Amino acid sequence: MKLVLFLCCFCFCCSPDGFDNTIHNSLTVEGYIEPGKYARIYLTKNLPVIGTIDSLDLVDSIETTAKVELFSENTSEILTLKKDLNRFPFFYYRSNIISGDINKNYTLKISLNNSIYNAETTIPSQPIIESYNFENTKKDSLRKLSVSFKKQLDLVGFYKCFIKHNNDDVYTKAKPFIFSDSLVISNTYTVSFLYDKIIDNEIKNQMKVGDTIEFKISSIPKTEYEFWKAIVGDQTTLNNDVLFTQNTPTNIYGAKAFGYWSGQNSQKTTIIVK
Amino acid sequence: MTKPVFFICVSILHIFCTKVFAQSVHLKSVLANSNTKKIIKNAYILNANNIIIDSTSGNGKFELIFTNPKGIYSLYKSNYFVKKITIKDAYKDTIYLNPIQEKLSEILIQSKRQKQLLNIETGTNYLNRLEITNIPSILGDQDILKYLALSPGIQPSMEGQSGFFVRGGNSSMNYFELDNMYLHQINHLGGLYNAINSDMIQSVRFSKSSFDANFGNRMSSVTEMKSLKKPKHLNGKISLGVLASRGTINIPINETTSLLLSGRRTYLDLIKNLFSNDNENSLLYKNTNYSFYDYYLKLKKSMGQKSSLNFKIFKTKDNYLRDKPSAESFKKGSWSNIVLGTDWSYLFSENSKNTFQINYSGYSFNFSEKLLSYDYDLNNYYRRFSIENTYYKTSTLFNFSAGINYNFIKNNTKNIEAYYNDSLLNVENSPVQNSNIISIYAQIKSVSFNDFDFKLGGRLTHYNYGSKIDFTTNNYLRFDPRLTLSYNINNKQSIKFSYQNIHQFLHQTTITSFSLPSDFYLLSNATAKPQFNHMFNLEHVVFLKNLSLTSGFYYNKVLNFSELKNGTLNNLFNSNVYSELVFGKLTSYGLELSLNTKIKNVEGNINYTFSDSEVQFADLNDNLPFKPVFDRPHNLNISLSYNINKRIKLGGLFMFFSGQNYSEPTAIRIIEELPVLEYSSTNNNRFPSYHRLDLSINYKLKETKKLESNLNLTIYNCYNRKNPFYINYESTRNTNSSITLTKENLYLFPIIPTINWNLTFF
Repeated sequence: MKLVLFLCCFCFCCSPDGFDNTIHNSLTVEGYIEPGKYARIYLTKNLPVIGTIDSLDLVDSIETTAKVELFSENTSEILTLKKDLNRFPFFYYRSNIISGDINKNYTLKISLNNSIYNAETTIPSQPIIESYNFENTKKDSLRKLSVSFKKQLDLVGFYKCFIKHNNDDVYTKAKPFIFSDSLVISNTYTVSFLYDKIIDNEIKNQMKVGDTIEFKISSIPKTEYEFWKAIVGDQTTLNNDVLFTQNTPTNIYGAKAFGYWSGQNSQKTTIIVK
Repeated sequence: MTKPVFFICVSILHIFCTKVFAQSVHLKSVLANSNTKKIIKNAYILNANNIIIDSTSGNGKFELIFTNPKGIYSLYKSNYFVKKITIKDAYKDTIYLNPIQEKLSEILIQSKRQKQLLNIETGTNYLNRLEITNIPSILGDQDILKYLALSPGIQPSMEGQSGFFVRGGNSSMNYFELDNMYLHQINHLGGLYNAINSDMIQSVRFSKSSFDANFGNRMSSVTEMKSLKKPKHLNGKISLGVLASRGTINIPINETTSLLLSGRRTYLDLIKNLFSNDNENSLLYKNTNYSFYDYYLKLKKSMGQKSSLNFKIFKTKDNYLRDKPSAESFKKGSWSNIVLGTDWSYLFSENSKNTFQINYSGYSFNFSEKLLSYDYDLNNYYRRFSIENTYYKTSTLFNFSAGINYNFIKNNTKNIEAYYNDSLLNVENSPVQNSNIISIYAQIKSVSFNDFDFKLGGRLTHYNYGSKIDFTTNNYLRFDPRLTLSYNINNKQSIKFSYQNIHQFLHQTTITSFSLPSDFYLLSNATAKPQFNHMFNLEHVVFLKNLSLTSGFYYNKVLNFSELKNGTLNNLFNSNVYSELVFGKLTSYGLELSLNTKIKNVEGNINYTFSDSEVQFADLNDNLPFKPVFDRPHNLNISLSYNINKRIKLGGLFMFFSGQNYSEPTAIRIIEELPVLEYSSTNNNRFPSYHRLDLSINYKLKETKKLESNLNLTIYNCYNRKNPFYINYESTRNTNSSITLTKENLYLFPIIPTINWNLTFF
């Protein structure tokens, strides 16, 4: 009886629910600058993990009260808020003077609610693509896109890739979504991409013979690559289902933020699946 | 002489004689086995204070002098009941000890009590052959390791995971050996079966603390398994089951030589060809397969009275294939142990011996995948070659041992060959790691049965990483002290204390959270400094009428504890896994209670552990402490067995423990127009508590002097509890542009009935 009482005491005094499930409201920064284009900075607040999130919650999550500044060499400017109903978030900050140039340094400063967020980036070179081809899969009507790359001399390339049907509004992450040529020793190499979507809890390839697809590939800095790798892993990870975002790296310093400020160099190609 | 005179004379003589006897009665006798009538040599003779005063000679003879008519002495020999001797025994030519083979269940309880009282070590379990054969069946298998995992302080892994976790440590901190040979991986089928066939095991000693000095390089536990001894007659056991069958045979070839053979195999892969189909989601799908086998061979050769030689081979292998063409998915894996060893034992005298052994233990894991942009083959291995010499000396007061041990370890963390359209890609691989470990050790242990006992040991290790032994660079020199103290409060209770400081020159990285034993092992180097712990243990043992209660408290602190930055290896092609490691500390403490009792035909065990573990890394979780995955505060298990009659025995096992920790998302971020789950802190939630009930019934079909057969029915997870082994989060974009987050518990093993037929021949 004493033992039972003793055990009960322990069961009651040692609650297992001593966990931190607090939602930390912090800023999400999605900022990029491309060659010849003005910088775009998308700012959002995080959303709670409770059931369904509707459009009102999404609009509320857009941050529009920040002061965003951009510095490059001897130039600086305060970015202005713009509206774009074709992309979420519908409001973004855009530069009007400073545009992108390869290998230049760009410094971002965001002031919001007495917090300062800083980040730096440069624009990497564009990926060198030699050819696009399609490969058969085990199902006759479905294909894989195989892209031949040439490795840039003395440079390690980091890339993110998207794919969509030409009549779709938004891109889907290609599979693989990110990759790096850091471990490739040869000068040329080929990567095969799948266009997968989850339909009825099954992953299904969407690249059918006769479809017109758009393939978008962007060179990104290592910092953004590390950010995405922490979230989705890369295609060499044994357990692809593990979520990696426990310790997401970011190049934003100062106040704590989630996201990246990144120089990007993209290529888009429209191809008919053969 | 008249009657009164005669009476007076006799009375005087009687008084005189009584007085003389009261002063000293000389006992000369021989000690023998009550069953076999064979003499028993080297049994201890203890006085009333339980102090050893003498032992029986080589021909079983002993002498005692009773100076007090109420004097009591005890005779002790392992595997026999303690025998009390009084002056009434003074005229017996032969005194018999009862061996423990009688009255199985009662003796088991009695022997457990004796062992716990006489054993000075803390946190140590010992199972002999009799107890092993009495282990309750799980899935038709008397699984020794699963049985040990019920001990307090041990957290069994979740279904689908292998191994167990002792006092907050990870599975790499557990050391397993079979006949002194190191075993690297001990599980089949995601931990559902262990690789050791219990039918071939003579004894098991499991230690959570109070390690002997000849063990090092593992911080949490040591499991020593000894296979069957040389038999007098041919004997064996055959067990036929639904999933696997096994057989063991122990053959005395001649007076000096014996051979032990044991093996096990699954046969689903063989018979499923008859029933295979084309449904990719079916277990019987033609391109899905799983099988395992293991076997053990031991040849023992005695060379005269003093010397003996053993040759041993142990092999295990698991094969796995999963091909799902509709999902462009192809996976194939295999993992295996090959262990070879020989040992030579030489008796210098009855009290001293020397053992010399050479062992090799190799583990390899292979995995191929054709799911991705590339096809790749992954291979890793861990190979250990060891030489050891140990000297043992026993006396009536102390046991002493000392030895030297050399290990050469070759570890290939991962070797990858990647292909694109069958053309080999150039992928940089990690270099193979080597280490040389030389240890010297010594230990002294009192065996006096005094109220106060101790065990003191030390191990000095020189660790060198690199391919050659080099004492000038790439070195670590570490000393591991260990101390155990025991005090017998009275003959019903004792209190024990132990401390140990162990260095481990091995780090473990877990790359999957389930199924495959694909953990990478990394040897210590300049980046990954040796892990080490300080473990304190306090234990109290008490025996009451029908029950025994062991309660203990432990505190364990591990420094240089390693973990992967993201909890797993992000990039399999990463050539430097060390760069993904972070180092910190682990602190664990707990209360362990174990109660066992026997009332008539019912025997029961209740084990409960309350524990708390915490890890802290400068580079993880903002340097804030967090709970490791296998921190489970509450762990309770209850096992009962009931002998209905001589033929039928019922068994039940109920397990309950807190769920393992995992990181639950606390926010959604929208980035690149896609929802991303964010975690505020590491391991911030728990799986639902794990519980299940297993029932078994054992029916003895036939029992003769030469043969015994029985039928065993086991129902695993009786009430079909869906214990989750994985929690999956999915965020989906709805057609009305809203986003819905769903949480899904995935579970592995439902209710599984199994039936086994066992045949034992003597």
